Amino acid sequence: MRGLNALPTALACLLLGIAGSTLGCIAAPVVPPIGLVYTDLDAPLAPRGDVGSKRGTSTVTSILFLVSTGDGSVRAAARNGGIREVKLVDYEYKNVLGVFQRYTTVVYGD
Amino acid sequence: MKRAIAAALALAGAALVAVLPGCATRSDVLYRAIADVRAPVIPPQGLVYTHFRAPLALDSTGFGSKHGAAVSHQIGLPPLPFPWLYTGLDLFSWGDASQQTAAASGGITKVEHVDYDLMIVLMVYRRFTTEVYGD
Repeated sequence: MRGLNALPTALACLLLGIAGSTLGCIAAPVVPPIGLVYTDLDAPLAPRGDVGSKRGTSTVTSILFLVSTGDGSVRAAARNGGIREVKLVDYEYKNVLGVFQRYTTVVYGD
Repeated sequence: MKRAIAAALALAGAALVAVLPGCATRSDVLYRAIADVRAPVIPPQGLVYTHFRAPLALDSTGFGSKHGAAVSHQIGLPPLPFPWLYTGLDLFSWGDASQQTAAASGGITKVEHVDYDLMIVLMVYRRFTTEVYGD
């Protein structure tokens, strides 16, 4: 019986791994090394020379690989920061074991 | 019993190997398989429900005063459990999410910035919206 239970467990592991490999991470032009257990990184999306005086962010949150919602657009980030002229765009990515993931677009400008 | 444990460990190992390359590199193929989206930035997606916005254009500086959108829909079979074998089975796809249509719908002649809005329900139904800002 216990031997029979091992196979579904292993299959669940495999499926979770596949789900994690396809859903668990982000795609971006620049991705620094990501940790399986914990990740908290900042990286550039649109590197430019000037930064400006204001900062605005917008986030997308994902829970347990199951549900992912949020407005992570540049437009929303600029609106949140009261920015009319976008100077530089970065992003932040936080991942705690896939249980909690947060992607943030960070816009700098005036 | 021992064989079952060995098989479980092997499968768990395979799962880990599957995770590692997906995380360390930006794997466009895998992301295309799941979301069927090619975009510079794709936030993490959910197996059950996904609805997010992310930038399509990264080189823009302003937004203008007008907003237009264009939508396309797609229904297909989920690419799991072997996403690397094929890039999703798209059965039905309709709509026009082109930037041109989005700009025309908002009366925009000069496009300043483009975002996209992606909704995925149960990895079967996908709705892709192009959001155009400009004057």
